[in-house]
Amino acid sequence: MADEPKNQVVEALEPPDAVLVARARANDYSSYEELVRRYQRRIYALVYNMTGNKEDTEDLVQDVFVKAYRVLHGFKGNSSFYTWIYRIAVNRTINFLHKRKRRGSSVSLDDVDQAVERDPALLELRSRESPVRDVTISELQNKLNAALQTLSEDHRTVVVMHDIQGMQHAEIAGILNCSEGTVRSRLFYARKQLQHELAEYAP
Amino acid sequence: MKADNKKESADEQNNFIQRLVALKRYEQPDPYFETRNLAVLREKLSGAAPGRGWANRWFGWLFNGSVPAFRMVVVSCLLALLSVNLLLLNSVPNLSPESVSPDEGVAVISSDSDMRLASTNESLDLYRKPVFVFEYPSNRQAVGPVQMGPSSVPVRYDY
Repeated sequence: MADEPKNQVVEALEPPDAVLVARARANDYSSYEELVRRYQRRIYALVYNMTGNKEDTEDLVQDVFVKAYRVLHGFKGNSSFYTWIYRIAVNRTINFLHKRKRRGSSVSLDDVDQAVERDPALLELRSRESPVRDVTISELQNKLNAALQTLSEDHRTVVVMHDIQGMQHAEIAGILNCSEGTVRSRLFYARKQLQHELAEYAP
Repeated sequence: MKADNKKESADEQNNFIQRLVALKRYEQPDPYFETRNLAVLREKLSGAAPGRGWANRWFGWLFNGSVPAFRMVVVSCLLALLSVNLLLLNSVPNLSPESVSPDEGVAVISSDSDMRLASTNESLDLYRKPVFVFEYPSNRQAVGPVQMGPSSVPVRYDY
């Protein structure tokens, strides 16, 4: 009982996606902007890790949100807004990658947060008695990016969503419209290929 | 025992690769990305109502743009072109089988006709071409010895 007013306050301060979607449909642009504010970083990370180019990523992220706004009437609410917008982002990025394959690609990477220096995986790598202990962050970033780009779009998508963005198998399956088994299988084969590509860093 | 060790090592490698790839989460867009993205979106979406159907969008494009008169002219031209095409389509004679009488459209030429057989290029009537009819029925059975090599094939012309 006591929780009810508290929930109402929280809802007023941070309304759920469904409420914002309904308001945005009623021509309230600020509500849509709030949705963009909520998801733009995650969509950016997804697209960036799939394309490996920050300029392309910015254009694609804008494209995703413009497209979503234009087809907002088609959003039936069967899934969450988050799932829906992710689906649009994945589809548009894969289309973009197909086009890019024909005209060639370039790499332009984002800056790395200094917090990476305290990451256990990096500390473990640097504690080894092997040449890889001297690897710089920038070298490692380039290697990881190159390894990711060798994967097929389907495999790269699941690796980005699961290993980088920390999403659950079921969540990924919902976005990609496939079974959890398919997600697991793609992850298995993708990691196998990554092991081959990053063999020099493996323990 | 060996198999267990091998599996353990594979799992360890798999796990480490996963953690290594996860380092990519530290790559961040520049600090102004969010503000810039919101500003660009605001500019792109200003004036656009969310999720409007295609008919509404066309209507908006026609009447709310900066040069509606030009757009109206373009659309009028397109409509005029479409109407002319439809009218021309209606003026084509009906050639359905029911509308053609049995004798109509069938050229009957006697075999004694002295019409000169000529190649299509020399022919006066380009669409009346001779048809070569082989004298042998197509399903004939071999009755005599099979003829090999080049020889004349009985053929007559028909129309």
